[in-house]
Amino acid sequence: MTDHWSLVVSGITLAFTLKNILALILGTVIGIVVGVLPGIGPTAGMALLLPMTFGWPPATALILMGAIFFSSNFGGSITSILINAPGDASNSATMMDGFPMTENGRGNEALGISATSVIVGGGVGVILLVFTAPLIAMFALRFGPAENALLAVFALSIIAAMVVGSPVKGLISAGIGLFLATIGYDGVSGNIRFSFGVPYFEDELQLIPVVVGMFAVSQVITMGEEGGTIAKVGKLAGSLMEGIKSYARHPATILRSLGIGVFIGALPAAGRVTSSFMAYADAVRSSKNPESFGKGNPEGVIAPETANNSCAMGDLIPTLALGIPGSTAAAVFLGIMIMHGVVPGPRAFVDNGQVLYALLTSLVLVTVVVFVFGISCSGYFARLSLLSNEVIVPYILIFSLLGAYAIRNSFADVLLTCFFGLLGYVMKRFGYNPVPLILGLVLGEMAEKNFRRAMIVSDGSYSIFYASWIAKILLAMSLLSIIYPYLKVLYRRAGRGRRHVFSSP
Amino acid sequence: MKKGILSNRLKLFKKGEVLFLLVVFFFLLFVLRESLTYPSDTRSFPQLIILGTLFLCAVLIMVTFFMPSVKETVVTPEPEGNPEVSTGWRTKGRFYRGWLSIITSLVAAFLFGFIFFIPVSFISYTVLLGRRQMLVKAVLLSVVTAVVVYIAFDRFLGIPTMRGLLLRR
Amino acid sequence: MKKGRIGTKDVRKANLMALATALVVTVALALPASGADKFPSNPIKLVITHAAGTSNDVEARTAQPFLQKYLGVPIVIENMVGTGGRKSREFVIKEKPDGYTLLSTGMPSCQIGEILFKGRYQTLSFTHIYSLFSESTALLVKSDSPFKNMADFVEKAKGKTLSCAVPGVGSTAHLNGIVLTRYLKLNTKWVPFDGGTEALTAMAGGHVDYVICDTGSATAMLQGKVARPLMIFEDKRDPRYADVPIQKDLGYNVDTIPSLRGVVGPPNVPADVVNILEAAFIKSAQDKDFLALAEKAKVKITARDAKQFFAVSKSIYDEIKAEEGNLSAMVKPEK
Repeated sequence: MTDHWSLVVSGITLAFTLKNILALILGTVIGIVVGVLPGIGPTAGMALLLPMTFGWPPATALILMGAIFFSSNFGGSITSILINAPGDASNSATMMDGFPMTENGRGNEALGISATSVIVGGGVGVILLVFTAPLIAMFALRFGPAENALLAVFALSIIAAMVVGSPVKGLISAGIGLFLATIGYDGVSGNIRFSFGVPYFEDELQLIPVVVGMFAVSQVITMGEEGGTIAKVGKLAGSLMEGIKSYARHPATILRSLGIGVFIGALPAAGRVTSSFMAYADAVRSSKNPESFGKGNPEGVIAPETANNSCAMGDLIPTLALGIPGSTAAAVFLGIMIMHGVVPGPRAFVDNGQVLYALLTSLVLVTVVVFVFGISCSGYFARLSLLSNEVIVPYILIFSLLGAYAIRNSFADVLLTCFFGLLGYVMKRFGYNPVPLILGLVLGEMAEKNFRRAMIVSDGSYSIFYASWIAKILLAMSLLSIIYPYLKVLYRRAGRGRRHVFSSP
Repeated sequence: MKKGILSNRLKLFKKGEVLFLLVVFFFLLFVLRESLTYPSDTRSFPQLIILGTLFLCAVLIMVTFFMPSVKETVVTPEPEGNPEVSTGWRTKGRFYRGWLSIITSLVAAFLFGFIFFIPVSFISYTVLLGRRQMLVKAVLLSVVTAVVVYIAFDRFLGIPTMRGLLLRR
Repeated sequence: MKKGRIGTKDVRKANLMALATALVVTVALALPASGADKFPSNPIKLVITHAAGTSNDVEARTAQPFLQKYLGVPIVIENMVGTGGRKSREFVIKEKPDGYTLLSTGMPSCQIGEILFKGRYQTLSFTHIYSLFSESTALLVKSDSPFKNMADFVEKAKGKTLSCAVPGVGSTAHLNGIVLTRYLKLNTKWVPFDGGTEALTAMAGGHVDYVICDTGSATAMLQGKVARPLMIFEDKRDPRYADVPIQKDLGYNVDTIPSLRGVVGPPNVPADVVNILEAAFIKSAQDKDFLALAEKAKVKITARDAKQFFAVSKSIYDEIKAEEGNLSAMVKPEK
């Protein structure tokens, strides 16, 4: 046991050497920059820097990559909050209330919340990673195709239930999203669906153009129509400190979002998008005034941001414990680990204890660095919301379209972004919430593919969907969430007479 | 009396909202037909989704036509726009001009690459939707941005950026 | 906001000057570099069939610094993602054969894309330059699985239909698996996933009976003793896993469909250019640092020069073409 402790101590000391601290800072900066642009994410950032790290000692290389891996989320949050353009699909949940907060002049506060959630979400995430990784990882393994399919259904059911606005329109929006998820190559059968002979549609629809288009580009048009500045109030209210304080006012939300984030992150099948939206939906449902969401409610930023950051750490749980990556970015990180001779698994902490503990320590440090950066620079960024539209709007457009192009160097992606910009604008104008569409797109694939895989394994029998106890629980929870809003309405009608939560059928 | 109601209903067709719903409806019918040509295991899920959504659209259409008294209040995450600007012709004009700005920028990007895309998008936006005084500022900013983006992305990070059709090396 | 008042004439002048500067600067930056004489004198573009971070990409980036060293020019990597690699291949086959545009592609993925998925390119018309990396396919089970070895496995599997996870429909693993189980007369339920890691995860969780995938994806699990290989599909024993039997050892008369990654150029690249590129690859393959790196990353180096590369490519092509009917039925390509 003393052996173990000495490893921990030596790891911590290693993290504090000058070389590693520099790697940490460099990685954090690169991560944030990379996170800001929509089409490029931590995966590309890590891959680009890979050749540079070849001669480096393993700890330094991993610290650099780990910093990029984690801090990119914050970069995306900055743009989601300030200009309604997500740096990555996972930041879209933050936009829902983050951007309205900026419009109300509270951009500073939103950024403060985001920065604080980095430390809290990331910090707690690392602690859970250190102490419970093997347990959580083994539990995550129990999720096979049937369980994953049910999880997707469950996620859809919670999120569909919390949508603000007409439920029928929300469901239509989700239906469109689910349909869009089926376009392209079907991995389970090898067929190509709905491509109508156009090679572009032989691949599945990329998420980034859809998200960026529906939010950022439609935003460009709306802002063009309205003129003025983003912050309609004309000046900045609130401050970063208020952001931190308002974060601290919602411990229950924080705890639940942490749980959701880490758990979903640990599941290889689900990622940050799912976890951030689930956390958001959960915050809406447990709030006393759900109607305030979507208009700048700080809880609407606290939940997804905390979930996102803890999810990033959650991704590392199965990665380090079993060698199974919890996400695509984690997969690249895993490859880099192996390349430097650090093989994850049950023996990892014994064979490479020092390096791993150094990595974990520096991940904690990264959260602090990002927090400090966020706090110090956000005020400056928040001022962007005061700039007049002529300056800011072209930036949003350039930024979104360059990002769309950068995904895979395809001009067609740029056109798709614009198409979804138009669609998003039209949908918003006519009362169709774009969020269910995005979720349908993300979860549709997960639901369908896993459903069919489960059916192959079970020879066509549906019993596989209530075989394991995980499956049973998920099934029950999905049914509950679908019924829940109607129960709530019935309860309110009974208790307080006419009080319309929803405005039309 | 009946004529009044009928012409009222027909007027509904002109409303953008209804048109949109109809477009979605017919699009779904179209893809449904396409899905019938696919083998059975691939088509079950899409068909399920399409049918479900078609059903919902049909419900909504019927509600709109047979119960036009039910007001569709829009309660969505929309930016709180200034009331004078968000209705009427003034918006229509700005809407088309906004798209014109985007399309011009896209054409510039497609033909000349992102280097021209940046200034064109700044200039087109300011000319079409902005105030004349901002033009100088916009142009200067666009040049600076173009140079910075080029250096940072193309030279430094090695991320390929849009090459124009006409300037292909 | 400042409320400076500038006269309209000044504004117009400023506008014009700004526009002029903008145009000059942007045209200057956009002008292509002047052409040159000896190859290579400009950066070389290396197109990769998949996204950053995938095995093809990581291998290419591992080789990149060494190639740059021996060629003396930068190698710019461009990930052209789409349709399982077909997009990048369809693109490169139309490019100028001057040696400045190259493609790193895996095989038999390339042949499968052409034959089974009607890709718009001809694998054999590419100028084959060099192949550094290869991969083996393995059959793996969970470490605590009841199958002790292949013989045991075949014994227990008779009469039953086991489920096998594969990285994708029509993947090398899938094809190798089909060929093997047909030979062994075993019925199998093939469960396709998106990539080796997902397939392995399913097996590790006990949701499928076994998995067939590339050893690269399984590295972490193999080292961590979560998965156990029962056999490897290869012509000779894989040095990284020397105690795992191959078909020959087990007495199976089954051919392997080899899996490798190589660099090709558009059709008809001049021979002297090919020689220069080939020489750089040869030097990289012998470079001590490169070999050490590959060793650490558990990447298998099977150096094949242009001629050998083409020979293997052709044999893979012929093999798949011969089985086209059966494989198409199994894989169901686009109508």
